[in-house]
Amino acid sequence: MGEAAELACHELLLSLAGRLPDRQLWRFRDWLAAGALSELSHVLPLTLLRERIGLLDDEFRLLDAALRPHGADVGLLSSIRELYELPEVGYVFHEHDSDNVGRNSLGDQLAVLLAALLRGRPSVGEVRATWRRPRHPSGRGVVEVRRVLLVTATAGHAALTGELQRVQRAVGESDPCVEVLPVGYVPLPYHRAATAASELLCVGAEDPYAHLVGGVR
Amino acid sequence: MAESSDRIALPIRVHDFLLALAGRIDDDALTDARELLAVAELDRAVDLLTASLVAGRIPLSADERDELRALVDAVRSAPALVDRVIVNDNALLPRHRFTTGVMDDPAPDTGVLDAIGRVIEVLPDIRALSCVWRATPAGVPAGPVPQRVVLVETGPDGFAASTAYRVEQSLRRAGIRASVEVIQAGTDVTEYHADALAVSRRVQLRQVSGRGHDANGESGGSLFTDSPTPRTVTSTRRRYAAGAHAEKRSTVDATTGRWQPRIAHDEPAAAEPEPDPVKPYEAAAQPVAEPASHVAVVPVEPEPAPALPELALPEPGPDADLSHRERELLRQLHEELAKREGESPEETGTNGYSGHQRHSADPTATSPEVSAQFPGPEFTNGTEFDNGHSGQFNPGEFGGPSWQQSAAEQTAVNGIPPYGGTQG
Repeated sequence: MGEAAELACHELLLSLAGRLPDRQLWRFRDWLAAGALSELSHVLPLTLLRERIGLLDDEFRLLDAALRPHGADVGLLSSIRELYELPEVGYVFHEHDSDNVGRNSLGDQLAVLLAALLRGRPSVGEVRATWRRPRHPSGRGVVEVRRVLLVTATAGHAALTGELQRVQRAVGESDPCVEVLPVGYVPLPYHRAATAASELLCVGAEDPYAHLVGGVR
Repeated sequence: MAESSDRIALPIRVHDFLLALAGRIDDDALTDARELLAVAELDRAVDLLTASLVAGRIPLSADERDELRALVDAVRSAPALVDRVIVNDNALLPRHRFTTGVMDDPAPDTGVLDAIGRVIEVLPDIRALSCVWRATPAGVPAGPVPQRVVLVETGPDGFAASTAYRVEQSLRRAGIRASVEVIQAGTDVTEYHADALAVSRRVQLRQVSGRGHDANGESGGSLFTDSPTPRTVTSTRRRYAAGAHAEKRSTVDATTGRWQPRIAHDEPAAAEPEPDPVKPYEAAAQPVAEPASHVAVVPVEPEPAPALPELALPEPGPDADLSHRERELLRQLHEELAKREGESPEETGTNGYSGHQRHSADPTATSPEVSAQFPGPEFTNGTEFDNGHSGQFNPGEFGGPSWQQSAAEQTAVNGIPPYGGTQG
């Protein structure tokens, strides 16, 4: 039950990419990687309610499988509103940072670090990166352009997510965007768009079997 | 702990708890929790803290865990979450290194004033601002180093949680990533903050604000200069002074406006130290202790010498209203009159009359018992007693022994006892 709940929670948090603020999402994923499902069971439903974030039917099933066994308040879960379709993805993706010509996924310290960590690593498939920017910038302040890592893996998804997030934070990305996609995962529009505009960084030991759906090699 | 914490507002308790965790959980968790606290989402702030402690396997002391549990209860969150926090009273706190420059890093205060100038003009009672780089990582999902730490000191009228939030937001808008630690003057400083303050670079707020935060003269007692905080000192002294003042006022007779002698009815004579027969005024001449300065705050006027006809000598009631000096003067008066009239004081009646009637009968009457209470001092010549009250009793007019009154005696005569002498 523990692994199933963890995987369900991981997929739920994947589905919230681009819908929940990065600052909260990376932390929830970090808690999951640390095995803090009980804490997530308390905090995540409250956050969905306070942020007025609705869920699809499939996501409700994930929520139920992941959090109810760890003490989530059923009353709170019942208050989360249903979605019948996902809203438009609020971001656009590019292979390179369009605002910074010299900034690309292959040419910086993080790329070197990721290659050292993940090349040939068991259970890891492809490691890709893309650059994300808001589809409708607010017009105030600096437009935030973020790097999004896309990794396929056959096991240990939550732990791998946590590890890569911490690596990214250590090199200066305060709210890292790391999407570790299980093999066979049917990606949502956010991940499809991200993968379509991504660049391959390196491959792990599972490369032949863990290609990203719709990915471009 | 719970008893004292009950008297502190919940947001302040959460803020203090966050201060205690600085350097132990990651800076972003602290920042987010402070934001939630500032926007009155205390439950989410406490939940974030608790989950961060559990996920990061960050130990707390038993006291800290108890405080966290109390906070969780107070915000009606899930108490079971606290059970998963690691408790270890012997765990070493992470030590951090602070510096004002690491390699090519700019000065820690670079751009800070420009970023927060408007905010600190609006926020109340900001007293000091310092900046420093922390060269060591904090928390488990640590951010990059060096990390800029902005330390703000507020006075008692400041709002620590709001200040932390608003200052951090302003810095973030300006593209400056920093941990903002707000410490209220007069509170204990953690080791983390003390280490940071010891190295930090002080920023002069008056450069930004025309009204000058530093220019108000209160920064001299700032935590940021390792000197006692003005709040602690001044509030204590003010309280004490007010108490002393009130006590003095309580000795004023509302009907007469006179100081009531400390040997009045409600204070038995035993409370007044009995003069040493050998050195009768030595005790009164003892230097007044330090708190005498508080006594001096109250305007003290020498009590006018009572007119002779109103003196009440033998009767216990009125007699108790006489001060030591008055008794001495009366005794001298009796002796002088006795000499002039060739009449021994011992032959004078002692009881059975009062007021003017008594005086008209025998104004010099006194008793051996009364005289025995005032062993004869050796008076020296002195005319200070007159005090401008001409027409009232003046021993010099009778050619009797003149005397000089010491300052200590005068204090006693005026009914103001030495400090602590009549407290109970």
